[in-house]
Amino acid sequence: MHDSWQDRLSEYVDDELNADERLALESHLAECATCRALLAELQQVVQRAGALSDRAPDRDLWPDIASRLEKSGSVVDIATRRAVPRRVSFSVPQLVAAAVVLMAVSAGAVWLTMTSSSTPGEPGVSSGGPATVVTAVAVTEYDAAVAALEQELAARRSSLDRTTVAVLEENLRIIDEAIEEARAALERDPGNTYLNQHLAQTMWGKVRLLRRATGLTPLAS
Amino acid sequence: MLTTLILTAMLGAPALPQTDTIVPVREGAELLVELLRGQVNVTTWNRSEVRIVAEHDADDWVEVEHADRLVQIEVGARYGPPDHVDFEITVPTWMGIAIEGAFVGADLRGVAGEVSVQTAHGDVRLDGGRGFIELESVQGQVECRNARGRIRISSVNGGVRLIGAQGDITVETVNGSQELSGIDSESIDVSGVNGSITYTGTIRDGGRYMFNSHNGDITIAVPAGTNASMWVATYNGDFETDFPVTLRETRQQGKRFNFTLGSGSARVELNTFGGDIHLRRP
Repeated sequence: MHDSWQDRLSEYVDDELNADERLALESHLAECATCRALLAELQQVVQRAGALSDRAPDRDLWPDIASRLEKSGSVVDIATRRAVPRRVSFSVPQLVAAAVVLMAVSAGAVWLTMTSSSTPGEPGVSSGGPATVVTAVAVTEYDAAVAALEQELAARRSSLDRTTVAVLEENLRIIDEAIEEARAALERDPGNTYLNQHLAQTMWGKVRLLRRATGLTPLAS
Repeated sequence: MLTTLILTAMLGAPALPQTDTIVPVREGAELLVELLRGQVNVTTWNRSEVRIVAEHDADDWVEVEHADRLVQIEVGARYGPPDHVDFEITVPTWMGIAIEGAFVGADLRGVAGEVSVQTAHGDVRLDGGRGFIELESVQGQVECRNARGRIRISSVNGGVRLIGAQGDITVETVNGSQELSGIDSESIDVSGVNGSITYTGTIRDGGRYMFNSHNGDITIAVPAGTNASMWVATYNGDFETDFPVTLRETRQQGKRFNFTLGSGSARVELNTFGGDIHLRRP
């Protein structure tokens, strides 16, 4: 069962509630085991995400692009252009899912970077390390993320158009088939870094589609 | 000051009731259109005004709110969810536009501001757009011409065409083809599950060009004189090129190659699990 406080847990963790709301939520937490568990999970995600180190891109391409476009006199600066910043908000399951997958992908990237490579510069090449270890870890966390998002989607299903749901399910099936094909190929060829990467990308594609599906405009608001 | 205009159509009119109103706007204002079903066509003019013309059922109404920096259009209904509403909207060329809906098609022409369109069912067409451009449809074709800036396009179950775009580009589909032509970019990221990917455009020194598919073929036009480090991988497909390259095969299972063109300054990655990869000259 969903209670309204679940949607406020993220604000609680971010210290964005006012004093009254904070007090009310803490009072609710004392009585609600589900929210306590969600809060603990959320705090763990935040803690683990905070431990991840940012890896800056080799090169930020945007300044050059913006510079060229500005020279053509037909574009304005994006940073100053947006009058009303768009806020993207996620429910707790979405936030948890996104963070979990982010960590899984990050962990995979770190592993691949650490164990590379006989060919300098090759995309994510593992030199024979157990690539399936990375996949096994990622798959476990991915399954949890997908389950959370599917639960969220199931809860919203009745508010969405049936044709839209059918299209989404058909495309989720297509992605699942692609994931299974990649998994089967990786089982036959566990040292193949391309397959490992391809599997991770396809899995991440499913998470993106699920996240998008949970954000679709309902039929009646 | 917030002004609210509620324009309710006359009951009993033989033709579809029509809303027709004009609101003044200041430079920098944005337009937000939210509706359940319908078509939104947007054109531009050189006035600092937004004209909204809409056809709708007698039991539905169009609500226009305008504040200093935002014009917001919504559709309401006397009973249940609103029916189909067709909009013809004229905006200042510079105006940023956001359209959101479930069964909504959108056609925007001549705009020079930021554009965001999100729909579940419906085709999206944009000619123009500057700055941040985001076009999404679940079931529908998405076509974008002559946009400049950071461009994000996706369709779940439909094709994407991106023509004459300039800037930082991300395109994604699950089940649809992706055609990018006449592109000028240093950063391209195209991914899909089913459906082919084709690309013609610049491959600039220092740029990054990523093309990934599961079952789709990938065809890339590589201009003569390109300086690029090329990474190619296909598991079940074939690789062919219309011009000579010196390949270094890195694996026997599947096909993975890399080779360098010129100085190798740009990075180009072409990956498809089950499709073919084809390099050709423009």
